[in-house]
Amino acid sequence: MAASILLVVVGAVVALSITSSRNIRRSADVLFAISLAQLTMEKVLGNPYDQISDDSTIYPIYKTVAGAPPGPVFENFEVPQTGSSLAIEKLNFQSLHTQVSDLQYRYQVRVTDLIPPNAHASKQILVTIYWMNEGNTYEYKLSGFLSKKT
Amino acid sequence: MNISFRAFFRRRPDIHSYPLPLSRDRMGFTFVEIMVASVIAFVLFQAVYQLFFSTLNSNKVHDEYTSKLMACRVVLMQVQRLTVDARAILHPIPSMTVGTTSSNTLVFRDSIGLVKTLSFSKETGELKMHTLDLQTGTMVPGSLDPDLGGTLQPNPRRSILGKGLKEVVFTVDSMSMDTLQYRIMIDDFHLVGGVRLLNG
Repeated sequence: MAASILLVVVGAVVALSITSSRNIRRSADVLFAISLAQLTMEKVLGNPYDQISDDSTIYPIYKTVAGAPPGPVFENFEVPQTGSSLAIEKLNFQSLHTQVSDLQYRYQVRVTDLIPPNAHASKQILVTIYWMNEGNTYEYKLSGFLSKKT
Repeated sequence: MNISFRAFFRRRPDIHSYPLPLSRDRMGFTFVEIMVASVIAFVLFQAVYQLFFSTLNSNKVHDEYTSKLMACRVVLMQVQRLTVDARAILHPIPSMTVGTTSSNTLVFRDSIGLVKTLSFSKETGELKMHTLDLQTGTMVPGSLDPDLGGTLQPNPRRSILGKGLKEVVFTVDSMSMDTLQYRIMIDDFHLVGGVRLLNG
C-alpha cells in the first residue's frame, strides 16, 4: 500500500516535470515559427508586385543533410565569415540548422489575386509555416495584403 | 487439588517459565531484517530526495530558458520597432558580386533624417544603439526623442537594447534592397525577423 502511494507520488512529480518541460519547448517552437512567418512575409512583400506568384510547393527552410536546397526565400540566408551567401546548412549555421532541422520547419506561400470592382488590383498572401513534433504536424499561418502601385 | 509445584508450572509454562516462548506472529525483527529494511528505506528516501531536487533544478532551468526566450523576443521587438521607421540602410551595403551582405552593425537613416546605429559586441554580448545628433554632429548613446516642446533630447535609457546575447546579425540582399533581415541568438536559441523599409 505504502509502496503504491509512493509510486503514484513519484510518477506524478515526474509527469509534471516532463509536461512542463514539453510545454515550454512547444511555446519556443511556436515563437520561432511566428518569427519565421514574419520574415518570410516581409521577404515576399519585398519583391516586385508582378513577381509575387502563387506556389503550392512546401519548401524546406534549410539545406537538408542530403543536400536538397531550401526554398527560394531562404536560398541566400546570410553571409558568414566565408564571404559567400549561404543557405542554412549544418557546416556554417550549426545551432540554427539543428533548430530548424530537428523540427523540420518548412514554408509555403500561397497568393490569391484580388481584383475588386472600382479598386486597385491587390494580392492576398498567405504564408504557412509547418513543423513536426513527436509525429504531429503543426502549422502557423500569417496573411497579408499588397496593392499594386499606380 | 493435589498438584505438585513442578507439575503446576509444567502445565502452565506460558505464565511462569522464562524466557517466554512466543508464537511466530508475536516475534520481533531480527537484526538482518532491520538492516535490509533500513537499506531499502534509505535507497527509497535517496531516490525521492534526488527526484525532488532534480525537479526543483529542472524548474529553475525552465525558468531561465523561458526568461531567455522572452529576452530574445523583447530584443527582436525593439529592433523591429526601430527599423520599421528606417528609410535607408547605410550599412551593410549589399555587394553586386556576392548579392547578400551580413554584419553585426546596422546603420540607417530614420524618418526624420537622424542616422542611427545598432551595433552588437561579441565581447560584452550587448546590442547598443547610438544616434547622430544633428546639432553637434556627434554620435550620442541612445535615441533622440522629442520632448513635450518637440525638441529632440538624448534618451540614454534606450542605449542598450539587449544584454546576454550570443549573436545579432543584420542582412540585406541586393535582390530586395527594401528588406532588412535580422537574426538574434541567445544560448542556442535563434529568432529571425524582417522589415521592409519605407523608402519606396
